[in-house]
Amino acid sequence: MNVFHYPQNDINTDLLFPGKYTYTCSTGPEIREHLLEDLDPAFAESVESGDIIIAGENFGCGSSREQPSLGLRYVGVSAIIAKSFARIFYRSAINQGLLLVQSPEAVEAYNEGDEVEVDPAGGVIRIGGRAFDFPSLPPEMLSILAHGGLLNHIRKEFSGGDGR
Amino acid sequence: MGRSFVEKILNAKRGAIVFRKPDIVLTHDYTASIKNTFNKMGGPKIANPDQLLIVLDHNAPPTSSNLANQYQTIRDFVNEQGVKNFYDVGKGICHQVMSYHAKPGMIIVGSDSHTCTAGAFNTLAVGIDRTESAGIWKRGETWFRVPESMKITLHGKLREGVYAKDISLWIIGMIGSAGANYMSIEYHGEGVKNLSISERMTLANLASEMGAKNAVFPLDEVLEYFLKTSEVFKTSEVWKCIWADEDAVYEKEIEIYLDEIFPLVAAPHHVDNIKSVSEVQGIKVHQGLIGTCTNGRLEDLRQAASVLKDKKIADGFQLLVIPASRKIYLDALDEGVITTFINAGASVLAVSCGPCLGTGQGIPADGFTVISTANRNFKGRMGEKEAEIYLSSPETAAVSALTGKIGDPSEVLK
Repeated sequence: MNVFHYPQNDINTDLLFPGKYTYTCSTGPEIREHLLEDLDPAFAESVESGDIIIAGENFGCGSSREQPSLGLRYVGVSAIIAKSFARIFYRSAINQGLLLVQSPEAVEAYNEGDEVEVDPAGGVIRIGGRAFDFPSLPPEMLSILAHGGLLNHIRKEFSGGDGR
Repeated sequence: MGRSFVEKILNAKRGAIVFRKPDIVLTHDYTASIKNTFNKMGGPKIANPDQLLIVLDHNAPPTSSNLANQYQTIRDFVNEQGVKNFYDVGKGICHQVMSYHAKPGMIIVGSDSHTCTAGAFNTLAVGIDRTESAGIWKRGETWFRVPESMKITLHGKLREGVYAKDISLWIIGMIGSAGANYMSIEYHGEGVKNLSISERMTLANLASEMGAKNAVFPLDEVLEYFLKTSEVFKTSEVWKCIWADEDAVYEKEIEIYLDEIFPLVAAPHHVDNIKSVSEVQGIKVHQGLIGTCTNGRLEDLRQAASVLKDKKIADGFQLLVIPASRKIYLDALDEGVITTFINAGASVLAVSCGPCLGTGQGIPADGFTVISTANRNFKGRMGEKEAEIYLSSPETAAVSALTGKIGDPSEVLK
């Protein structure tokens, strides 16, 4: 499992996915090609399912476009641990089934090469042997995440069963 | 204990999660993609088509066949579903069009981060993501977490050469681009009545750049007058004025003395890289953009035109002007404002979001420095990674266009 560590604050949606492709890239593979292109050109090729991103304050600030959260979920990022998240990105990630963990302490504690483990059920992150609690989401949001995003959540609601 | 605006309008305590039916769900060009998500959710019919407001603005008119086809898909969808509130290409930027629909006391959501602009009309106006918009089409409602609130009290009035954009940049300079993170910003104080609706829209527009959930202004005489003289008003209508209690509790409170503010810019590449215009005066600029949802209204165009009247912009300078709506365009034509821009050497573009987001006309060249009245200056924002973007008021942008260097409007007026 890789950890992509971007210590800077204010990683905005244009860095996560350039705005100029907003209306030309909508599928997973199309988005993947440009994901984090202006922040870390090596990301798209090297990211694998289960990988984790660690970042500073105000991660995801900027536009409400969905490609950043959709793309990161598509490539299998299992969690983003940041000091704080921008609001619309936070909503967007939950609606895409992408786990966001707000923990300034965990981010501060991380050193390159540390093992990182996220336990969403227990509400704990483990970094290089140290444990950090994180506040759990309200039940409505946990339910959306558990269904893998709002789309599945709504399908299930309307079909009365597992709508996948 | 007193309640804040947002606690009253959502009728719940801060921190609570509630489900509410928004009065308006705004979507724009991305409606084509939202429709696909809606269909995947099972479609087929929108729960309440009258809730929807759909505006074609970001890529208007389309610059590729892909975009043109998306637009046609949206038109077909609007017809199939019986959506009344649809604004086709050229009618206006969505947040400007919203001013024909927003009424005090409404809950408004939009699949655009600058939906917060409608807070100028004493509404709870909040940006959401696109999947969620599809969810509302299906269910009519969505969840809201009741946020903490921030009170910004305005005193006095602006000096000459200083504008609402400068107030916004001033506040961002004070609190940072995440200074109001997740909060609901309330604008209070006697300074509020000295701001026109257009200026309040500019301030509310930039709430997104402060990290806020929304920003809101009270229903005062200025707003009442605006509503009564606009298409929104129906004689029988009485609006509910929802406003915070005197003893509401705030997470943060700041005081702003409007007469202390001077012209500012947001320097590359982040909106909270605030500098005074005098600090960056003289920096060469190659391109200017006057317009957008932030500063594309008649007042903004008039300010810029007053600087450019009977003058020419600097040799080689690329000045782009975009009125924020058809109505504004026509009014500006009537007043001779458009003629002033064209005579000065500007290109006046079709009503749209245009160059702000780099998907259409007016992409800057490599190494260009742009002065723009938009609200974002991230690297690559305008479609060119090697361009540097300064954000400013329309007057600062116009003054800079004259010389091809960043210039101070308050000096020009002396």
